[in-house]
Amino acid sequence: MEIMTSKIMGLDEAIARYVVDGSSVALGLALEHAIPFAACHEIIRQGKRRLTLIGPISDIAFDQLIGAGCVSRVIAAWVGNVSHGIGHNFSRAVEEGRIEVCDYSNLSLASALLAGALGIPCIPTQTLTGSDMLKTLKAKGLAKAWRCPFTGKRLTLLRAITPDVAIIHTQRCDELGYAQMWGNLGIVREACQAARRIIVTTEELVSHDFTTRDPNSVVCPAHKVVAVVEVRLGAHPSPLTGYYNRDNKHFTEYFTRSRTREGFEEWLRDWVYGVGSREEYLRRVDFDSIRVGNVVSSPVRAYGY
Amino acid sequence: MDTRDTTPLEMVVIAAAREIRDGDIVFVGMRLPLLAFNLAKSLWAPSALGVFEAGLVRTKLCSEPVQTMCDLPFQTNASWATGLLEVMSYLQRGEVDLGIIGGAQIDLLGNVNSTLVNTASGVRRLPGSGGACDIALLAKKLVVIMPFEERRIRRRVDYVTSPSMSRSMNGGKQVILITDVGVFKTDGERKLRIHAVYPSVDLEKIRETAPYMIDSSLEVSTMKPPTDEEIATLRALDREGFWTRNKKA
Repeated sequence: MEIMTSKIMGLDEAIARYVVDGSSVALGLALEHAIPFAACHEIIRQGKRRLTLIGPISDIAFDQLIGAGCVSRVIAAWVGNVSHGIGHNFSRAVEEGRIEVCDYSNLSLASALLAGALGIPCIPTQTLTGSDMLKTLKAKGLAKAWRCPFTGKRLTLLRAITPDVAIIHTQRCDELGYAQMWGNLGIVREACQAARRIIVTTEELVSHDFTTRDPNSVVCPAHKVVAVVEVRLGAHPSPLTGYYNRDNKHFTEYFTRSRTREGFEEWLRDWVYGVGSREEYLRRVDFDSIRVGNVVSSPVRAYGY
Repeated sequence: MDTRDTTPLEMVVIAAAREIRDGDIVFVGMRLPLLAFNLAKSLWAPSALGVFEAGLVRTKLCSEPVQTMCDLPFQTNASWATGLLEVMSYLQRGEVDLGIIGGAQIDLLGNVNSTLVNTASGVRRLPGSGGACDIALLAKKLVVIMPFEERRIRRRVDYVTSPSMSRSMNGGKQVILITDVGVFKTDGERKLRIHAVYPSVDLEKIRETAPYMIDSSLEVSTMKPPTDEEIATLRALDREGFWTRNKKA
């Protein structure tokens, strides 16, 4: 991959080129924060199929992709709607046997991605012991009982997870793929390191010169970034630190409408298939209700010599 | 203040808060666990430290209403904003004094299920563990909040998401189940037994639903009624009664 060429492109091109049918896609990596919903909706519009989704707590993003028929396998700790609990599409798909689920806990999923990030094949963990999740992960060849050769302690070895592509939404990113993010980070850094490729959608496109003024805020290795896409409100209805609040009403509307298959399909028409452009999407959002009114900022930190 | 108008959910939050001591490192979930944490922090545990799995550590109280731990009021003026592994490693290193979780079912051995339940019409799939399994296994003490209903309080759960007392580790830890009728604690045999009922709750109600959680050789006390200060503080935190006054248990 070239390092000094601009990676800026449109969302349609990024998803068409780098989210391949049958591949594994990590997203929703900052938990309920900064979920790349605009990218998810483009995946749905392009009718991607047989994806494996990887992520800790996806807060309706996974539920939408599953309901739209894009997914055959889910590797996650929690799939639903954080405001209301159940993700109706996810529950329906599992109950009807349409998707395979590999249940992890947050710590075990993060650890397996950390192994991928470290470039090692597996990693020991103290969690999962005695759970039914561990039984299933062992049966699927994703975990094994192990005795530590140094302490004799009985532990579990988790197989490393290496996603084909990670998709993140960040506050800023430059043309080379140096993405800056702040607020809680979840497993953004580990998943980006573990992934073969990274797609960045970003609220503000900035120059590389700008990024180098605050290199501590970069969260991913840019040599693996294949696409940089500027998308305003790209995480809506999830929140983005410093930019917009969580749109709680949207999660409630989704919960109510996705109760039935037909209701979900209407929701998809209103919010995904029927949205011709980003401008059209933005017009449908009540921005005043999610605007950051109470800004807390710190003095700019200094670098130099 | 007349405690007879205290709702069962207010009792749940107060009972959970009373398990938090000053200086504890507490792994806190949203909703009722967060209210319990805020109540304890406001009254007797000002230096309790809250850690949140999205990658947040908070010293300051956040009394704005939030639906998720990533909501911006909750991120604002956090003491540390970082990653999931940084905070969940507190658990794996054994540094977390107390974890508070909810779930769909709990059994006599303190196992919690939040993954799937068997119903008359078949298996119902739920969202899953999140961090619950990690918290249950790795916190020094575990508090589970659950309504006292027959479909939730079971001899054996349908699926073990969060085994609170794995044989191979932390075998002696205490599990405390806080329901809308009373508080259950694990005994010497690591089984959950009724420990204290709330004022005006009849022990017979517990016998009807879960007779196996009554050990007749153990004395069952009545919980100390909420103080005026506890009730006033809780009502100030849950200003509109969204979590504790307008909902069924």
